Amino acid sequence: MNLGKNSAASVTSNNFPTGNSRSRKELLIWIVPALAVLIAIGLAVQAVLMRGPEITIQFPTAEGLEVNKTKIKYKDVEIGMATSIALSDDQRSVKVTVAMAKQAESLLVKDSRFWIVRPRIGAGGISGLSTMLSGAFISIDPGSSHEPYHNFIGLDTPPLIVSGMSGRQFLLTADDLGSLDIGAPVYYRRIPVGRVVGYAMHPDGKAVSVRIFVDAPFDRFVTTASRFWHASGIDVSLDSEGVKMDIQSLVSLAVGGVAFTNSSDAKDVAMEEALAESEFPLFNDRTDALKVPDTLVQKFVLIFDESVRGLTVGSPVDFRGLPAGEVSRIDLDVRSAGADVTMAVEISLYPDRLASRQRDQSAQTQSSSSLRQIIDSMVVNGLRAQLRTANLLTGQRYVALDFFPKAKATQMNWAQTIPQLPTQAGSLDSLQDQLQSVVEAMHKTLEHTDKLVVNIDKNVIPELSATLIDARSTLNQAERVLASDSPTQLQLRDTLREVGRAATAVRDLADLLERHPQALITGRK
Amino acid sequence: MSGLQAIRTGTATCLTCGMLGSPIPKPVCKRCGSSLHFRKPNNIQRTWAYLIAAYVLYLPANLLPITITRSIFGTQHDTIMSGVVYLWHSGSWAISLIVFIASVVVPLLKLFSLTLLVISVQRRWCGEVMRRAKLYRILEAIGRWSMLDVYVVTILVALVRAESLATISPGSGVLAFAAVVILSMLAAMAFDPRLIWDPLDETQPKENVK
Repeated sequence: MNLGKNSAASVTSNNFPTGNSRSRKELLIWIVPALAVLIAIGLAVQAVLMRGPEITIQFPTAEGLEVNKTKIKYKDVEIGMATSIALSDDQRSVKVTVAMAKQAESLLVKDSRFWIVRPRIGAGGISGLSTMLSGAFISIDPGSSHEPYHNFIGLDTPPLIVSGMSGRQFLLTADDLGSLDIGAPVYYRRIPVGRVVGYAMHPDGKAVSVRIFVDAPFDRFVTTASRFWHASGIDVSLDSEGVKMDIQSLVSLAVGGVAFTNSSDAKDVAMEEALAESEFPLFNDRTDALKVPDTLVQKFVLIFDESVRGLTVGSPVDFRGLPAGEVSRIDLDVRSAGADVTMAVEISLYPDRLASRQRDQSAQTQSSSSLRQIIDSMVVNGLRAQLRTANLLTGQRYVALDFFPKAKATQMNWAQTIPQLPTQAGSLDSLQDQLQSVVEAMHKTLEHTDKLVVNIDKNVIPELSATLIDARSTLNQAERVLASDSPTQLQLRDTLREVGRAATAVRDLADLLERHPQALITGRK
Repeated sequence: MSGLQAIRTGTATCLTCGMLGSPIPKPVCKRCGSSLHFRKPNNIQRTWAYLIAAYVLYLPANLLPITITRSIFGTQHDTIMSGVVYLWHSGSWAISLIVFIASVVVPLLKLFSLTLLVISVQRRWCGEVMRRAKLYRILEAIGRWSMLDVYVVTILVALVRAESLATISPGSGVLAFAAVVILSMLAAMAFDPRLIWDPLDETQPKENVK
């Protein structure tokens, strides 16, 4: 057997002539494998070029994730695929390895965030519904840092703010969180303009700071004069002004919410846009929020002898119809061995509200000494505090400051830590007292009347009956005298006839005298 | 091997009409006008060219997706092997095996056996002639069946057109796969099986050869 190394071509061309010599044309056939190699190399190069970095993301759970199925999406564009899902080294979380596309390399920076998009029913509504069918996917929010990073820790819940959302964040400080939750809406003129993105306890535990995000373009309505309040649920207030019910929206009914507006008082003050991260107080309700901020607080104590039922901490203090402060504390004031128990009501008075109209100037410059002078002169003129009933139905009461010129003259004593403001017995109480005295008086009167009646019964009635008997006999006699056939009657008739005749004679005389007056002298002719 | 070779008589068989004729001086069949050669010209070289191309494209054919299924459940890229694996896991072992054999094993075997044949011819092996001939016949016979995958993909693409619900589009793997199949068929066609027996005659003393 010839096992020589002659090529097949040389065999055919030398030993078995084919008629066609080896030509350039026949070399063309090698274009086919060359093309194939080119295509394969092209594909390989493309694959290598497309292959991006491999990253790992840690999630608390791999619920809904599948190897080679779960994608990484950014703005709904696929930029990677989960290639392995394994428990983390400490077995506490799940480590997802993801092969990223080349184009996504710039997104993988230190502060990029990853989270799993699943169907979720949250405060703001239902999200991720499409993943019910397509399965969960991992979403990315690229960070702004430039430091490349490949080992991420995934978020438990989707972030409420992702980069690219324009708007600003603000901090609200509240006494309590109320019914707010992350995702709760922020309203401006009842339009949802943002949401609560987080909350935290102050380090000292005395307040809660709530972080909100207000979307552009509404964020420019947050000004230095903005007031924020809880718009949570139904705000039913039963106060001395009656029943008030306020609902911001059905969503806020369920998840709470924050509303803000710009204080109308600040119209003349230049309204500057608030800087991002500005802090604002979060008030409990709209009314609170819109109150003129009371910078100056003067406390007074009021001593009432009467019951303070219906008066609560927060009840208004009213100066001739003008809310001037509120009740801040109610105490028992037991003096001298409990014999004399009075109610000590502490009120916070906002003297600014009582100041003159040029609020912006005089109120601020008003020193406490001038305030004392004002109060002193008012007290001398009869300023007294009085408990009044605001609402007969509910029994709510308030403290009224008013002038009682007839009140006993007193002086303010500013030496006390909390000065005492003189009080006047409550209007209703005094009315009650008066009524009682009236009733007592009436009672006495009735007693006297009773005695009188008894007296009359005992002494007057018997005499009266005797008198009546006498009277009756008198009448009988009179009847007898006046009867038509009585002699007296006949005599009287005769007499009257005589009198008639006499009258006729006199008339004749008068006639005669009228006609002939001289007859008086001459006599009848 | 006994028997007279046409080439030794200076004649060649026309592959079209079967008439014996001399390709010299003009390599044209006198009866039908087809080109007439003692052996297919350049056949080893051409077979090699097609084979190498087929080998090269075999890789992308198996690595690239052959179908891209877009449905409301998302987009899925399927390669031949992922389909096989999916069928295997879903319990359809028989179908999985069929697909695996028809789409992965057979094309590869075809390429290998053709390579073997070409090498054997080049090295002028004399043994196992009958087996090699049989191998060539099998090769020719199963060649067309390798296109099964391409047909399936074509039918799927045409059938599944529920727009937003689900659409299947062919992936670039299908092109590579079809190219592999076609190239291996071309290689088999370019190969001249008569070369298998040529070395047998050469071992005998040469006579009457021009």
